[in-house]
Amino acid sequence: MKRIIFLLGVVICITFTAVPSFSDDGADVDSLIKTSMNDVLGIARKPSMANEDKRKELWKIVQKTFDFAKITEFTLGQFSYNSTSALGEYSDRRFTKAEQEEFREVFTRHLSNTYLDRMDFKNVDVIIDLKPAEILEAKKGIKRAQVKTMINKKTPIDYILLNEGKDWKIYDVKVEGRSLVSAFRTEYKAILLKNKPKVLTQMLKDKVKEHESAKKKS
Amino acid sequence: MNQLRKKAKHLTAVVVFALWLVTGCAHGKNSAVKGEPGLVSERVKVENTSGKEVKKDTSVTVPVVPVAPVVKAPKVRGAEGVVDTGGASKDLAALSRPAEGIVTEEDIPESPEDIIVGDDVDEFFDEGEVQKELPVTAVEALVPDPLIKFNRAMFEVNDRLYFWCLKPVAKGYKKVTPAFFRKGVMNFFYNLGTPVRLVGSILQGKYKGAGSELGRFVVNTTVGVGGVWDPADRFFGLKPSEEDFGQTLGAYNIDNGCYIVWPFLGPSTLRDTVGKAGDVFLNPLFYLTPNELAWGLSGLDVVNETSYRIGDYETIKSTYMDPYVMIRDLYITHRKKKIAE
Repeated sequence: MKRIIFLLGVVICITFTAVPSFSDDGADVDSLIKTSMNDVLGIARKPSMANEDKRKELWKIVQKTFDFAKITEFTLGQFSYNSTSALGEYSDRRFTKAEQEEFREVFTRHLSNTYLDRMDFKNVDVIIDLKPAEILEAKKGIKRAQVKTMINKKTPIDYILLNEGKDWKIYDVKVEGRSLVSAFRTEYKAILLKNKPKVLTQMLKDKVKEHESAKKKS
Repeated sequence: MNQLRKKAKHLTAVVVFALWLVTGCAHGKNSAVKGEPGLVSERVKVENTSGKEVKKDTSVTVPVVPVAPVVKAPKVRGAEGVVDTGGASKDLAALSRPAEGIVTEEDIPESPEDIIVGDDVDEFFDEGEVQKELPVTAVEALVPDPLIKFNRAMFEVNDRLYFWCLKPVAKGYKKVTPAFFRKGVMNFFYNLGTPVRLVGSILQGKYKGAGSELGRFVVNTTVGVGGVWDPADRFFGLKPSEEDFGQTLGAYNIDNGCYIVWPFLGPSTLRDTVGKAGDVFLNPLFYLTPNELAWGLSGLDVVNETSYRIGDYETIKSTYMDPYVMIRDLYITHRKKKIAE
């Protein structure tokens, strides 16, 4: 009897000490984030490479790492083509598949402009404390995980990832607990309550154009 | 006026001394905040340019670049009226009005809870089930904004002040001053702000934080040569306790009141304005004479601080359709988070 209890104890211990990050999923997520960071670092620090080329190379990494289709879907929320929630009197605000695809392209470009412009290639010595991946509860059959980081020992940035069957991809970034996708979603919801999807896409196109022409001037 | 200042000076001295007596016990070895508990349970060394392998279980961290750039929330600082989006990041001001009829004052964010989500709360996936039966709800403001016309006008004013005055000055200052100098200046003014954080910590019953602040002040003022260096953090692990009077009022369940954008000072609320006024009396610069010297030093503080944040406001402005609304929400959620901490 004692032996059985002992064996049971061992099994329970093994079960509960099997930290999620030691699973394949945890290892995959860790690997994705670390590899991406190292690749970004490698490019950002290339002394001979022009900044514009660095931006292009970095964007390739970002495209591999982020799931822009999901980011778009979550940003549009109940107005998304994929959503099934009732829109009532706002039913004409739901994106069609084609409208959403067009929006995704412009939104992705907007994100690219916004965030790659923030990269300071002269000062890439940032200290990042990277915690092991945490596997979150799957939602609607989609596996989820998050990786918490601390930048320069004071700014927490968390990456939230999902896996729909093949690769892990980031679908949200939280800076100091604030979700970037939520911020866009709130703003775009306000616009969509007053305008049709085409107007939002056009506003975003104007924003992109404005940004790119300002960049050319500078 | 001078008499009032003298009285305030004496009163502050008495209060600070009394507080020092009260918190003396919290100044011991055990009260020191050591490191940042819960911050990093396991650090991972990310390889550098040499392409070496990533190692786990090491306490060593090396410089790397984040996958995404840091853009923090705004915090109110000085007279710059500029959104301080963080080291990256977290205050400030102004903006251009959105296209008429597109986004109006009613079009604002939902509850703060929708923006700050917990560790495993994922609103995105819950969409289908949760909102299936619900109508599309209007977007509600995080804070009452009855002065929106005045606020938007002040936002414009601060925007101009930033682009026409503060930014060029801060850029020039950054160009002619070495990084260590600017860091020293930042540390010096941060050290001067100790009374504000100390009193805020005590009034909120955060005695550990108060002890840490007191310890930091003693160590940094002496060993750190007037606060220019920060040996208290580096060698003793004494972390600052980021408190102020506005947060104290919030901790006592006093509501924000309405949102206000002050010229030069940037975003605030009725409660935080009262808090800021209280903080002024705890700032040693307030008692400095002649006034020109006090104003000069305050200006240096603002310019130095801004030199670290050039680009943050611009990012917010170019990212969001209506930066006024975004900055208002960032400000409110940031303050709410600070009060909850």
